[in-house]
Amino acid sequence: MSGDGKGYLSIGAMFVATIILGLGLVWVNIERVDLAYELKTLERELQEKQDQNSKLQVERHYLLAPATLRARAEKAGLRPPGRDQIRILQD
Amino acid sequence: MTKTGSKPSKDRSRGKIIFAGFLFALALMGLWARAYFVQVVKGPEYAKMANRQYWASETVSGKRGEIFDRNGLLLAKSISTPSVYVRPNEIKDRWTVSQRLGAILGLNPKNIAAEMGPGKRFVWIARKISDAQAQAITAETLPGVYLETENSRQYPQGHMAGQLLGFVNMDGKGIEGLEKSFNDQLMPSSSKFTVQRDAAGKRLSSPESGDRSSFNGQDLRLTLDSQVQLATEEALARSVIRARGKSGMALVVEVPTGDILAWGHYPFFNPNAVKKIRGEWKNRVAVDIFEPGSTMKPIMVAAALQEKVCRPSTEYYCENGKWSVKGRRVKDTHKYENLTVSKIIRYSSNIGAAKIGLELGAAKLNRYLQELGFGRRLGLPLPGESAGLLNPVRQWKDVELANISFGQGLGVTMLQLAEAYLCIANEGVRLPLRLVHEPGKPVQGKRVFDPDVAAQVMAMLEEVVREDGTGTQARIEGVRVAGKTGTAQKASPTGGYGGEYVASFVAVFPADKPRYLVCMMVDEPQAGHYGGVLVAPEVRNVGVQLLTSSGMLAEPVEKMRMAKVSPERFSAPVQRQENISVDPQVMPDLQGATVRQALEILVARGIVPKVSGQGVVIEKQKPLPGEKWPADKKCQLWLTGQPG
Repeated sequence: MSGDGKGYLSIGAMFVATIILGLGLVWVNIERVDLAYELKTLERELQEKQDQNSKLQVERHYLLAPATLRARAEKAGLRPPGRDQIRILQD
Repeated sequence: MTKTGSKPSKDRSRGKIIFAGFLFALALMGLWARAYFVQVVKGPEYAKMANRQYWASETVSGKRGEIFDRNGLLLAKSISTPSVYVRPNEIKDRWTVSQRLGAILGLNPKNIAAEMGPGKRFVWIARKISDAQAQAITAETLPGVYLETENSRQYPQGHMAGQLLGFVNMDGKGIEGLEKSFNDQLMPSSSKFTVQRDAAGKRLSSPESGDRSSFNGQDLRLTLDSQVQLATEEALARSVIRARGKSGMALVVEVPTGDILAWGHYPFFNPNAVKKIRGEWKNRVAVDIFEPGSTMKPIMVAAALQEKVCRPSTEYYCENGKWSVKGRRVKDTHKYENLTVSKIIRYSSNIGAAKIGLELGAAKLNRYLQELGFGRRLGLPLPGESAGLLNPVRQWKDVELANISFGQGLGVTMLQLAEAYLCIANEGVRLPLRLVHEPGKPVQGKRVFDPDVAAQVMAMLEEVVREDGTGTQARIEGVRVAGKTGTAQKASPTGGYGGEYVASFVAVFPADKPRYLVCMMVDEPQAGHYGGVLVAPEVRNVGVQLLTSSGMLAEPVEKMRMAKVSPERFSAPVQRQENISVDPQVMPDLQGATVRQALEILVARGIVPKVSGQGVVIEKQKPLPGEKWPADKKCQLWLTGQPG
C-alpha cells in the first residue's frame, strides 16, 4: 500500500475511534446521571427510613418510660411489692 | 426547418453557482461570527450562567446529640418534623385554602386568612406538625402550600427532670438547662457541598456529601437513674400537695461516687410543651437559695467536734427554750435545760446550736463552711448556678454567728447542702457532685473532717430518726437511717422574718454503710411547717424504694435465713410437686411446691403473695386449695425447709 493510502486509513481509523469514544463518553455521562438520580432516590429513602426509625425510637422510649410502665402496671392491678414479697434468688 | 439566425442563450449557471457559493460562505461566516461571539466574547458569562443552572450549593447538617440517663434510657432526641408554609402570591382562593388548612391543623381559618395578607411572599402556617397532618395536607394538593422538614426536640420521658434538661428554641439551640450548658457538645455540625441539578431543578446525588450521621452532635450521658428519678418526683409531688406548699425540690445522690441519681422539682415542667410565661422551667435546685434552718446544725457540730470544742457528750444549758444573744431572741420549740451535743441535734435545739457555734467562733465556722462549698458555685455544668449567700466573716457579730449556727442568716442551694451532707456520709471526705456519667473517671475527694468526727455526727443523725428525735417518721424497720429535719422561717421582703417557712429533710440510707443521700424541701407549706412531719415521710418512701430496688431492704432477712439454714437441709430430698395442675376457677394445691413454682403460678394470675416463715418449700397456703381465686389478689404462703 502506498504512503497516501496508509495516511487515509489512519485518518479513517482515528475518525471511527473518535466517534466511538465520543459515543462512549455520552453513554457514560448518561449512565452517571441515571445513577445519580437513583442514588438520590435511595438517599431520600434512607433518610426517610432513618427519620421513621428515630420517631419509633422516641415512641419506644416513651412506652418504656418508667412513668408509662408504672401507669400501665397500676391499670393492670400490679403494685410495688412489699418487703415480705421480695425473694432474691442467688445462683 | 429550424431557425438558424437566432441569438444563442446566455449560460448563467456559473454565475448562479458563484452566487449560491457566496451566500453559503456568507452564512458560514455569520455562523462562525456567531460562534465566535458566543464562545469567545460571551463565553465566560454564559459559562457562569450554565454553572448557576446546573450546579447548586447544598448544606448538609446532622442532628442534635441525644441525652441518656445512666442506664441508657433516652431523655432527649431530635427528630425530623414537617412544618407547613404558604406563598400567598401563588394562591388565588385564599379563603378555601385557609378553610382546608384550618380543618387539618385545628386552626381558625380566619386567622390563617389574615396571616396570608397581600404583599406577603412567605408565611409559616404551623411549625412542627404531626406526620398525619402533613400527609393530609399533601393529599389536598393545595396551590401555594408547601411542607418543609425541620428538626424538633422530643423528650420521651415527659416532665421527668424537665427543669434539669431544659429545652431548645425553634432553631434547635439550647436556651435552658443542660440543653444550654452542653449546647456546644450537642449541636450538630454542617457543611456546604456543590451538587449537580437537572433542568427541572432536581438535585443529583453527590459523593462529596458523604454520611450525614458524621455531622451529628455528640451524645450526653447523665448520672440520673430514671427509676430513682420517678420515685423521687412522685414522692416530692405527694409531699408538696399534702403540705399545700408553693413548690418543692429534691435531690438523690449516690454516696460512694457523688453521682446525682435524681434531680426533682415540683410543679413539674414538661419541655415538650414550653409555656414561657409561666417560668416553671426554672432549675431551682441549682438556682434558688434558701435558709437551711436546722439541717445546718450537724455541719456546724461537725466543725465543732473537729476543732475539739466539744464532744458528743458535752452538755449545754438550753435556757428553758428562751435565750437572748445581744438583744436578739433565740427560741426552741420545747423547753430544754441541759442537753448533750447529741441531744441538741436530736431535738434540734436552736439555743444549744447557737451556744456551740459561739464557742467555736466565726473564723473557724466560716472556714469549714467555705471548705464544704458554701458561698461559692460548685461548678456543675449548669447555667445560672447560684453561689448562695454567705456574708464575709468580718461582718459576723455574735448575733450573726448564733443565727448561722442554726441555719438562719445564710443562703444555700440544695446542691451545696447535699454536698456538705455527702462529706459527712462519706467519712469526712468531700466529693464533688457529678451530673455527667463517666464510669472510668476516678473520684477524687478532699478530707474535711476526721473519720471519727464524721462517724460521731452520723450517729447523732441516726438518733434523730431512731430515738425520740424530730425525724422519727423517716424510720424504716430493719434499716439504720440517719437524717435531719429542717424548718426555717423565710425572710420577709419587708425585712425580718415573716410567717412563711421552708420545710426540709436530709437522710442517708443506710446509716451504717451509706449508699444514698436524699434531700427534699417544700417551700411555703400551708398545712404545717415542720420538715419532720411534712417531708420526712416521703423521704422515707424514697429510701424504701431505693433500698428495695438495690436489694438492700430484703438483704438482712435473707442473710438471717441463710445463716440459720444448715447445709444438710439443701441436700435433703425435697419432695417437689413435679406437676401442679392449675384450674382457672380454683386455687391450686401449692403445698409441697417450691417458692419458685408457687410464684410462677401466682404471678401469672397477677397475684404477688405474702410469704412468711423460713425455707424454700410451701407448707401452708391461704386461700386453701380448691377455694376460688382471691378477687382481691391477696394470698399468703407459709414456708418450711422440710419436705411437705
